[in-house]
Amino acid sequence: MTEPGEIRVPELLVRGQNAELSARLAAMHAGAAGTQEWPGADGRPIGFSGALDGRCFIVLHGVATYLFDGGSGAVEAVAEACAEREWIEDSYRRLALPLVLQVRGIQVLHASAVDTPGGLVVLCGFSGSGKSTLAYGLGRRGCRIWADDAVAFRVEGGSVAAHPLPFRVRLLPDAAEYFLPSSSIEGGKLTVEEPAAATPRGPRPIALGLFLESEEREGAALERSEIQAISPTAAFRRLLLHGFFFHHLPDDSRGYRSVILEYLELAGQVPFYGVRRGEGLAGLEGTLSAIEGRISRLSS
Amino acid sequence: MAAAFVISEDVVSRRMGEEMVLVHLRTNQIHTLNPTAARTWELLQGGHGVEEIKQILLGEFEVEAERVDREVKKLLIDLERSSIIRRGEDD
Repeated sequence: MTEPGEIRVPELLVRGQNAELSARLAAMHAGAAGTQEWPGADGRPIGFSGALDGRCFIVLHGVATYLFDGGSGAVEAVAEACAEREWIEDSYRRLALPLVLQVRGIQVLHASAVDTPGGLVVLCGFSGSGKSTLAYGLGRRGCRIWADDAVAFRVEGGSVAAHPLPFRVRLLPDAAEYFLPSSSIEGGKLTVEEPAAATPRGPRPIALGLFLESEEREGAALERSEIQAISPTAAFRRLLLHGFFFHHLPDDSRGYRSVILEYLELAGQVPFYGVRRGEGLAGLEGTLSAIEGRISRLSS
Repeated sequence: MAAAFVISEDVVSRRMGEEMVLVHLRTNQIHTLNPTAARTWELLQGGHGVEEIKQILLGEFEVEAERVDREVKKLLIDLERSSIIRRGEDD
């Protein structure tokens, strides 16, 4: 259990291979007994998770097995052969940490966020929907980039507050080319060092939520962006699609009931809008202007 | 129909404006209730019996008795089929 106030990101302790543990988990997964498969973007499994001997585990193939419980202690990473420490730490931040936090009573949305004078604006979307692109674009227009790919939140004193997590902005190649044409990209995404990520940040109220949708209408790409209000009940259903969910919450955690109640509060308290825009970056500046217009109403 | 209903412990709910969202934690089914149904749900939570609920709804909404009767009956059937409520002792 965590106390009100700032959340603490659990320390990661990296250890060497453990053949016995790997064999036990593999056998457990092969038996399909109580494990949750993790499909990658292409549908192929990238790992699985579950609970064993009173601890939770997340296996990421070719990287590490992360072991943790509902307490406040460190997370243990048992490295797989040839896995570089940087991969293990990066996968921890992006994939394992959201679920560790959920087991410890903090919800995490697959979203980016920018900070504004009126509060935090959260951009929810599936992979490739443009979360980081829009957050980076808003950052260039004066907002402060606050989160990339993961936004932690919890209900405190009846209000929904987001909590800062360590992050690095990762731009898709087309967005990197658009914003930083002289950059060289290694791998699938360009990692941008964001100075705001390193500065101390406290909890912030979530003022606005946006669901990013790339849509084509009747076979033709949208010519201009559309921002439309979404009812709280519809927002709740959509939020569940963008949340990180660990399927094996231990008995000593706050449990699934608390998870759902916190998502209901988020949907009930924060206004949500759907942002529909065409594919690619052609209408990006128009989309950014439309979002800026919505943001300006927060502080007016 | 004079039975009181018992709400499942596996259900959480929250009012959102005029609507109500119910989530069954075991089936993961999500139900959205319209304003009349939302008020009916609140009255069920308050332990009111079915006939009492109908009378309260007639006082609070501009609606005919026949329609209240029909809508409450349909809601209770839907909720019971979804294991959100079950019949308790007669009131």
